[in-house]
Amino acid sequence: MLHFLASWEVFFQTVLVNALLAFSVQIALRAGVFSLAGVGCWAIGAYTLSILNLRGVNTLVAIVAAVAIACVVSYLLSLVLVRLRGLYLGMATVAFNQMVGVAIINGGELTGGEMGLYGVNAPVTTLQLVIVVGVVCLMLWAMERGVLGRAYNIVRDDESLAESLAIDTGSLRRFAFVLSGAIGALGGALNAMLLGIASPTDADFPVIVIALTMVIVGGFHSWRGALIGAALILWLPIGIQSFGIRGMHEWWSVVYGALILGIAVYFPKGLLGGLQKLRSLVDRRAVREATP
Amino acid sequence: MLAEQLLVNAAVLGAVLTLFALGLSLTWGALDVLNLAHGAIFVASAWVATRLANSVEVPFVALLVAGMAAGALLAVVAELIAFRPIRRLISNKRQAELSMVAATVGFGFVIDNLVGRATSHQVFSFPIGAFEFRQYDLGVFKAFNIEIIIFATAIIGALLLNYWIMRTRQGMAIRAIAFSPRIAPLLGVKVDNMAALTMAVSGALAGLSGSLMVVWTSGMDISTGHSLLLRAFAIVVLGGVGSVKGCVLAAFLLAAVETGIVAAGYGSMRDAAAFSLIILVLLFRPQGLFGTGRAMRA
Repeated sequence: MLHFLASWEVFFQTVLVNALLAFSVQIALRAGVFSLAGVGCWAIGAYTLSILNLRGVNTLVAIVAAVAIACVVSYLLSLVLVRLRGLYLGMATVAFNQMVGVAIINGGELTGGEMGLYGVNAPVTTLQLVIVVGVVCLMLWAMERGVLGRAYNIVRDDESLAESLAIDTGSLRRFAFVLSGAIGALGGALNAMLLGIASPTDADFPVIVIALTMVIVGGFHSWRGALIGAALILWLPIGIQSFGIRGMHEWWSVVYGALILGIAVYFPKGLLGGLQKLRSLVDRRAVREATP
Repeated sequence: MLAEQLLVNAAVLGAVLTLFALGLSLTWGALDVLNLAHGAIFVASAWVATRLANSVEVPFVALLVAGMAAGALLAVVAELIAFRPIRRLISNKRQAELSMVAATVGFGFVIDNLVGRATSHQVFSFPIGAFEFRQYDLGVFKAFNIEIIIFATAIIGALLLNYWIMRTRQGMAIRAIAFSPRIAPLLGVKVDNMAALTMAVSGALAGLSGSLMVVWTSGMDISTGHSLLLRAFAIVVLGGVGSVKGCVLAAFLLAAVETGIVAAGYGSMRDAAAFSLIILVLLFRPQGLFGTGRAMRA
């Protein structure tokens, strides 16, 4: 068991950190806000932490600063993008991410330009990551079950209906932006600590694609879906390569794309939705068998 | 570089962007498909055209047609294996949009990697002799024949597309689907057939722009598609989703701005131009510069 843990430790750490990225997008999607700004905040978090760390600031202070800056930026962004919905909002947030990327590349000494920042010295243990991600999960769990979660369900499915029920959709949407940004920045900061670097690719289009894929594949209706998605998407390249079928490792990326395609088409609520459907089918059969 | 030559560059870049973005705008406007695989289709069709040129000696026009056919075929495959099932299975519009975006990510990934494998992730181009370059002196500026061809193709393509959408019965059917995919079948529109046709046209436009661009830039690899895709988003939003006129003007505007920024020596700020334009437009004119609201878009 210990040996198993040791050999998979890097993988676990990556999954934990990337789960935060997935949560960041999932929170927004669940609230009916098609925002991918969590990725820009992921880069903001990574850079804030790295810049402060390289100047000798305490790690905890740096993490708090990273999250705080992302909160402010997300709040301002939510004010700016208040009128946009659907794909337009998605595109506007992609534009925001790209602009974060351009700002980083043109940041000169502060951000290290194209090279990024190296030598971030803020070691983090797996246990610490588990605790941080665990706390976030607990918070999301409580949020989904509580009044807030139900309010978000209505806002997502029918905004005018939500308004008619005296739900303040505007402030709920803004809160979704801010929370998404905060968790994205936390993930970015932890990622910079884990890897010891912050690079301009942190805000790049592939990161957006990966984050979105994790959430859609896992299922965006719950944080559990995002967690499943993060673990699966990160495991797939390793998993497909280790199947041992001859020539399989050369084709892994094609199989990977095809799997994403299949899940997107046939599991609209993600794998989590598929699992839940399976469970309800089993439950129903059990009930039918139990009742004479 | 001379100012006139910069103008030629901007015009040709604008023309390539026009052809590429028209395909993206068409599917987004008519079918609510934000096709993230459009860049992959663009590169794959260009690759097919170069492969054909490597194995047989055919006139350049035939190569262009082959590229268009490859693009149309790929787009129709995407329609059949992804968009059509999603339209059948998912009735919620937001959910369907999201599923389609994710499906195009998967589809694009597959195509990108197939082309990447076939080309060993190297730059590919037409063999020497497949296209004969000639330079013409047009008084004020000099232009290669390929540059004139690209510019003319883009203008003719845009005019034809506009005619098709606005003046033909098929175009009317597509506009009906854009207005409401649920009401259109009640009016006798065969949504599935029209969607496949729309995807085919979109793919053919990607194939045409890809096959032309690979000549103009003397080669491309799969990253070319990604870079074009991001700029095409900016163009589509700027011009207004579904507006052919808006798309053309936005493409040339973006090309001019980018060429200007690069010529002024701020190359690393180039992408910021496109994306600050997006945010400004979305803020002050969310329907785009030439968008005319839902009823007319297609």
